[in-house]
Amino acid sequence: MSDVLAVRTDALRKEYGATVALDDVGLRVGRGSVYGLVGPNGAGKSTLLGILGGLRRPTAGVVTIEVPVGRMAVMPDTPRFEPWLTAREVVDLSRRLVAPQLPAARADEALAQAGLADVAGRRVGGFSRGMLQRLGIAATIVGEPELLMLDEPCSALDPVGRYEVLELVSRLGRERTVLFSSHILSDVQRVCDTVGVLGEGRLLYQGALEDLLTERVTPAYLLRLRPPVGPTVAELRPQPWVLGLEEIGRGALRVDVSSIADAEVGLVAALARAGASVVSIEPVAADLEAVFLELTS
Amino acid sequence: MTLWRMELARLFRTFRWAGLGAAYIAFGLLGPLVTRYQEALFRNVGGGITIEAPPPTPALAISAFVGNASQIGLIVTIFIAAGSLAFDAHPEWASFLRTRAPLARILVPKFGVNAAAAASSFALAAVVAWIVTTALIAPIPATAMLAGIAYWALYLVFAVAVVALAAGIVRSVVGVAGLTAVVLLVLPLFGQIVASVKPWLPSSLVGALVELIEGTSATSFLRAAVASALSTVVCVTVAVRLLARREV
Repeated sequence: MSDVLAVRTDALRKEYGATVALDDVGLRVGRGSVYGLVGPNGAGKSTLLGILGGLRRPTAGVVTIEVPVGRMAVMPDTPRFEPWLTAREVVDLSRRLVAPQLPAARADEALAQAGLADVAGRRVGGFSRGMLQRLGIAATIVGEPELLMLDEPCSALDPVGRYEVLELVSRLGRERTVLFSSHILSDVQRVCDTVGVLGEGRLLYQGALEDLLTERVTPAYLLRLRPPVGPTVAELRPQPWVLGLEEIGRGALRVDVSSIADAEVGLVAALARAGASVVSIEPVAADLEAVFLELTS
Repeated sequence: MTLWRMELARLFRTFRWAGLGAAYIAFGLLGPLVTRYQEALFRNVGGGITIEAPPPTPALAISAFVGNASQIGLIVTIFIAAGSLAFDAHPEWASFLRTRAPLARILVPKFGVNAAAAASSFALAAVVAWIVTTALIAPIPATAMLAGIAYWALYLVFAVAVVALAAGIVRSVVGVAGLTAVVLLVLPLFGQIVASVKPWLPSSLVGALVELIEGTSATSFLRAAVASALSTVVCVTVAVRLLARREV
């Protein structure tokens, strides 16, 4: 995470009557980072983005946005526009409102970036949900904002659309700060360098994605051995660094270890002592889904 | 595309202008026409019933037009204005606007275009009524007619400002239209209960056109005109503040 922050919240709290939507949220979005806000439905992602975008007021806490108001853009999860406007008019209206100094041709550029160049002159009343989402992205990026806040930008897109939008987010993230929420963890893992995990209104984790994947998940190894595996199981189970041992197939063992360092020293030695015939040893790749489940369960 | 052009596009692309124009102009045409031929119409009712109609006068003709304009025309005006000013009824669209422009910048074009559309539709219909009345019944003094149109137009501007205020209080289009209708209905009732405030009430302007034709001085409605203008400014200002306080 960059040391220079674009967005910061301190002790942020939001209540809707008796329901606490956000509780003690201390968000830190570094300038120039692509920050993925993940969480299950109802975790408070949209509420948080709504507060940051000035659409909702916090019940308590402080929000600091180090970007001028006119240089930030917010996209809701289900964009909706006046159906009798054309796509070009929607994007051009956005340009006129946030960056009138940019040329009118910028609207067509933004539409092309969002993959809507061919339908620029069509009224948006007949657009599919995916097209409306692309239009929302075009209207968001047209003003070349320094800070983009995208609420579930890929939720209505097909696989190709998702790929294209994530590529766009990734490109934008090289020059700007992007904060986007999603419950599609593979999307976050693909484009984000920083991640925040929200659960029941609380920020359960915040930091570099790499750190989250390496530190928060119990490291594990997948062993493929030639049968029988009994002696190997008998040798590994009492080892103090072995936290779990599971036979997951013929000749395949999953070994959860206390640390990678301990396993690197002890695993091969233990296999040698057991006289195991080793086909392969590979670390089990940690993915965000596993971490997410661990954090939110 | 600007917010002003967008509001104009809303009027023309969705044919709201046609509804607004038709509501007023139809009565501008029919009011004097029915007044002129009322007696003949009654005569043809038949059934042995005799209905006596007063002799047609310009004041009666314009009164027939104003009577319908102040009911059906006003309701159409309120609903069309509510469709634009109650933009918070659609949170996603409201988010688009609210995250890109301050509320005064969003509200003023909506108010301005709808007020201008209502006032100009009424003015056009009144000119139609004036022409038909002059052709079929008798001429109307131009000063009385023009002053009356101006006062009525001011009342419609005030009515659209009440729609804006209602949009700051409730979200849905129907709710905004309903609240506005109630306010505009209660105002004249209030004037009947407290007679001293009647000359100051914007609703007094509704009768201005007919009363001016009947010979009342144009200055009689100045207090209501000033009150309407001030109330319009207050309604729009308060609406901006209420909308700014609202969460989307």
